[in-house]
Amino acid sequence: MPTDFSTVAALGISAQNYFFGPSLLLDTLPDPVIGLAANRNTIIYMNAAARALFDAGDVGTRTLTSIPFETGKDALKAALARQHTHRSEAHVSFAGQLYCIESQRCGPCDEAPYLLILRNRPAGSSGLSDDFVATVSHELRTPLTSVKGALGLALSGASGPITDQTRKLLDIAHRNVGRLMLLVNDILDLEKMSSGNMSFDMVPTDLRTVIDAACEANTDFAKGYGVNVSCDVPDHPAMALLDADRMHQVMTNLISNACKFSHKGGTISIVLTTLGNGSHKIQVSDKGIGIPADALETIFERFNQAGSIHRNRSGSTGLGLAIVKTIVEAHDGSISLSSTQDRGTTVTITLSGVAPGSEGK
Amino acid sequence: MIKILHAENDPDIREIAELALGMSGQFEILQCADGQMAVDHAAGFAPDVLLLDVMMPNMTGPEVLAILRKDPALSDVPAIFMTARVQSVEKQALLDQGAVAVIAKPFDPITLADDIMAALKV
Repeated sequence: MPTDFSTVAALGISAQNYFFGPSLLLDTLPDPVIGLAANRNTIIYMNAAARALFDAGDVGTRTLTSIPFETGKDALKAALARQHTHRSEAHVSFAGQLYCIESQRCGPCDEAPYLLILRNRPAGSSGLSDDFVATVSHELRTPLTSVKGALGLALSGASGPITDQTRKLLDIAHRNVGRLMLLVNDILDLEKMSSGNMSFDMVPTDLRTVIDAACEANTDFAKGYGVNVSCDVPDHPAMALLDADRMHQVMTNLISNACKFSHKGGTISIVLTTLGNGSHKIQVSDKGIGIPADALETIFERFNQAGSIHRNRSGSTGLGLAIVKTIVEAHDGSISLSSTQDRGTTVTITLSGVAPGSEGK
Repeated sequence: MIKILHAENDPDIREIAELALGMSGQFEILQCADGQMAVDHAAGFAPDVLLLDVMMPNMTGPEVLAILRKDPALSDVPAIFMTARVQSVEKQALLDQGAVAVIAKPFDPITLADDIMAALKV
């Protein structure tokens, strides 16, 4: 069974009263557990699984920043920086394995330590296995395929003429089965990513081609909302190590969000720039309805409150930004969002660059 | 008419595909409820194209294709897989098994015929 975060947090808080001494209970847990001091860097505790993973005989004076995570350091730092008593997640890789780190401050006061659990869920070990995800995927999509197909055929007139009233009802059903399909896809994507079952085909790629393709693919979608798409990329290659399909998914998600929340006649701006340190910045901006300030803190969480406000209007699943963030972090990138209600929203992604001479797509 | 052998274990999806392909007027369709039936009927039907669901009980679409490829009369028949698993690596794995295209589920019945024709480059 996967380690239950609440149980570990309770052990960390009550049984040890903010002091992570030797603990037989925590040592029995299969997932690595790390206790951090309030400065969010000094390691004050590692359970047996963590000591084994990081080859640490004792904790000594180790710090979180001294652990040689291959990717995700910035994401972990950002997750720790923004949280208070909320549980937060970040994805890192270590020794070639992807981990989802859940972290939370163990109490309301500033001196409270932080607790980190590293989830490593290869197929068949814990969480949902790859086979299970594949089966659920198949079992959910099969009836949806039939429903969507049957409605599509009826709407096309394949079974004979339909009245306007019937068409309206079929349209509602067709639109909502599409929405359900998106939700199923998003849930499965998130599960695969968080369990480490999502594979990323990282190849040096020119970001301009990904952004151009995403803009082109979403032009008709934007037209449906009466929105224009403006794409501004540099003249020089912007090479980054990435999975082009997944980054296309990121861009599609951001562009479609911007469309849904723009005013008719508005313009969405996508700008790619290369920074002085060689990294690349992608900004997707709209001048739409914006997001309330009190919803910004949780905007990347699943089914966040801002999403629930707009979900009925937009047909969104409430999972898109969580997926975007997970994909970006799997690329060792960072993502941020700024928004002013009734003024618009800008999402900024930063990705490390690779040398222009790298073999690319 | 293009002869298409369609293997799909879900009866509703078979019916939708039959309606969708029937609308186009370009296909003669033989539908099979499982992989074994497809193997049994393929030689006699002599299809121009195979449309195979990937996840079928007892015999998967790729397993059907592997068997049919051993028949010299069917070894060059273009094959198209239909699947709900459309990650790029999964799609590439299916293409590597000799398919000319992979159609994602849920497919659009209005464009199914065009998708098949595009895969055949007709």
